[in-house]
Parts: sequence; C-alpha cells; structure tokens
Amino acid sequence: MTYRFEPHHTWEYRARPRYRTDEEVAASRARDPVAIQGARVPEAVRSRIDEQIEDLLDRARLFAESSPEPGPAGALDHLYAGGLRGRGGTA
Amino acid sequence: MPILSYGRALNRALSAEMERDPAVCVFGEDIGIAVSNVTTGLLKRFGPERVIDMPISEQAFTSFATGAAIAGSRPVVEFQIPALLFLVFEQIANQAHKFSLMTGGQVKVPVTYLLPSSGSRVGWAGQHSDRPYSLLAHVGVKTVVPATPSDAYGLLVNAIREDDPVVLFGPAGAVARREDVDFGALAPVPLGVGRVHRPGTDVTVVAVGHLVYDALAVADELAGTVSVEVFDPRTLYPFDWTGLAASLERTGRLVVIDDSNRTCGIGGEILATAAEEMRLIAPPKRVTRPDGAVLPFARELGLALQPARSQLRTAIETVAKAQ
Repeated sequence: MTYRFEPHHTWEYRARPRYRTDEEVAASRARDPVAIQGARVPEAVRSRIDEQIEDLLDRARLFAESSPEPGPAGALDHLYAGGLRGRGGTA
Repeated sequence: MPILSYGRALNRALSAEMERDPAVCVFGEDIGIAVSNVTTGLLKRFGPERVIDMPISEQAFTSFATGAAIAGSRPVVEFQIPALLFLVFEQIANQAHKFSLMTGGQVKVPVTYLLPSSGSRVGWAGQHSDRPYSLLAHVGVKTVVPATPSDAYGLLVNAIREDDPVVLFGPAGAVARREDVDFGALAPVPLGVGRVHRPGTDVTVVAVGHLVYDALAVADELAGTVSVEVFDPRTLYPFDWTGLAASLERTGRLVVIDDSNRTCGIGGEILATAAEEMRLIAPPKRVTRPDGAVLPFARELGLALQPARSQLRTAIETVAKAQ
C-alpha cells in the first residue's frame, strides 16, 4: 500500500488540515519504501544520484524561468501525436 | 438587503434540505472540514451519520450513494473537481441513471452529484479544468448549471428533491459571485426552466453558467447598436426549448456561448435544435472552447482556449448583420 506524507496541493500546504494522527504518519514513515530501498544503496552512490536529480530539477527550473512566455497559438501543441488540429472555439 | 455568495447559497440549500428531510445526507472527500466551503457547519449540526467523509475512492462511494438512494436515503455526493466524473461515469451513466427503467419503475435513485467548482481556475491546468456537463446531458442525466447565488440555492433544493439522479455544476467563474437577496424570498427553482436576464429584440444570446455575466457585460457594451437578449437555460437537460423558442420569436437571431469543447458540446445541440424547430432569420453562431481542448498550465494559454468576451462580441455583431 502507498501512503502520502506531504500535502496534496497548495491549499493543504497553507491550511495544514489535520485528518490523520501523528502515530499513523509515523507508522508509515517507519515502512517508507523510498527510505528502506535508499538505505540499501551505498552512501556514495546515493549522494551522487541525489545530486544528479537536484541538478536536473535546477536546470528544469532555470529553463522554465529563462524561456519566453508561450504564445496562445501553441496552446494545443502536442495534443495529438500526429499533429491533428481540431476546430477553434469560434467560426 | 443581505449579501448571499454562491458558495453560501449552496450551503444554505443543503442545510435547509437536511433540516426538512432526514433522508438527506452528504458524502464526499474532506466534507467534515469543508474544503470546498459548501458543507461548512453541517458535520456539527447534523452529525457524522449524515455528513460522511469518504476515502479517496470515488467509484466506491458513488456506488455507495446509489445503494443508499435505492434503500431510501437522498444522498448529495460532493466531488471537488469535475474530472472525477470521468472516473465515475460508469456509476452514474450506466448504473444510477438506468435503474428506474431497468426495474420497471420499482426503484428510484435520488442522488445529487454536486460539483462546487467546475471549469478553469487559473493554473489548474489539464486535469482539473474540464466542464463535462455536455456528456451528462448527452446520456440523459438531469444536468443543471446555475449562474447566480439565488439560482444555485433554488436549483440545488430541487435537485435534492428530484427522484432521479441530478448533476449540479457550480462554475468556478460563478462561485465567487455575490447577490443582494432577501433570504426569506429564496425559493426552489424548477429544473428545466430558463431565465431571461436581460430582454432584447435583435439577438438572443444563450449563455451557460458563469458566461451569463460575460454575456450581460457584452450586451451592455453593445447597447447602443444591438439589442441583446440574454437567455440563461439554467438546466441543460431537460432544456427549456419553449423558453428559447419564445426568445427567438422575438429576435430570430442566435448566438450561444458555452464553455464546452466544441464537438458534441451543448452549444451544438442548441444551434441544431434552433435550426430545426425555431424561428431563425440568420445563420446562428456559437463561441466555445476549441475541439478537444486541454487547458495548459500557463495563464495566457489557458485563457486562450476559453470563450472570451471579444469573441462573443464579434459573433453577436456578425449575426446581427447577417441576412
């Protein structure tokens, strides 16, 4: 079974509603598969993987922030693999 | 007069019906803490037997509501986003909707599915911004889209009292609306009856949900040149064809603004029925989302795919001039 530790969306981050006990969260932390599997990887390897992922995320953020604002004409780009274009909202 | 917000109107309708009829109960996610504000105060007032928080398992609790309704309850099921309707389409369209016929009328399924925030909020992106009311109308499930707080109140009351399944969409673009109302005058609104928000003589604009406000704004802008009648169907299925025909008797010209995807959206059904059965003296037009629209995350892109006032204005001017 999977378990969510962090809030689902921005409102939940702000409001922090309590809908489960600390004990329930702690019990799931104790069997967190990411932590358990991670502990099986040698520390040096794990640090390198973590660094690679942090770097990838940093570059993705920089790419987004330094890219021009997308234009409305491309709002439906990539909707279909073959480039099918449906009709617009007016005629 | 006191101010009534759209969300508060839904809350008042729910509590009034729960007070009036002990069979009315509410199922949904996070309704105890009222994440959507619609169920505020209900848990305290009516208790956990009638205000029941559900696990993140929409298909299961939608079926649970069907069973509860068959057994004599009158459940209101809240879904926080309309995309969840895709998940429970089987439970609504293929089960709840069909039981009355399939049992020869022995079984009724009086469930109300409540979507208190349908459509796009800025940045809610591809999987949270749909407005699948045309799908429900297509299969024949009673479908209401109130635009104003008092209509939200009156239509939710009657949706709950209906013996059939009813889906009520509260448009995200309308839920922040407030209205001066006499609380004592709040009354049930019958399903299937439209409302003329503004009378006019040149062009009828059928506006669905929050787009009623855009239609009224454009009608104001054009007041010196085109007399626009703003018709709000309020219920999409069953649709008030009589009301629309009466409006077209006056104007003979039609524009529909509908925040559905274009193909098979309710706007297409309105144009087709008007063309087949009603008085039109010029080709009608509709303003919709594009075919198959998926709203991107970026603000400008999301807005580009939703019906805009400028598009409505152009469509009205074109239809008004057409011979």
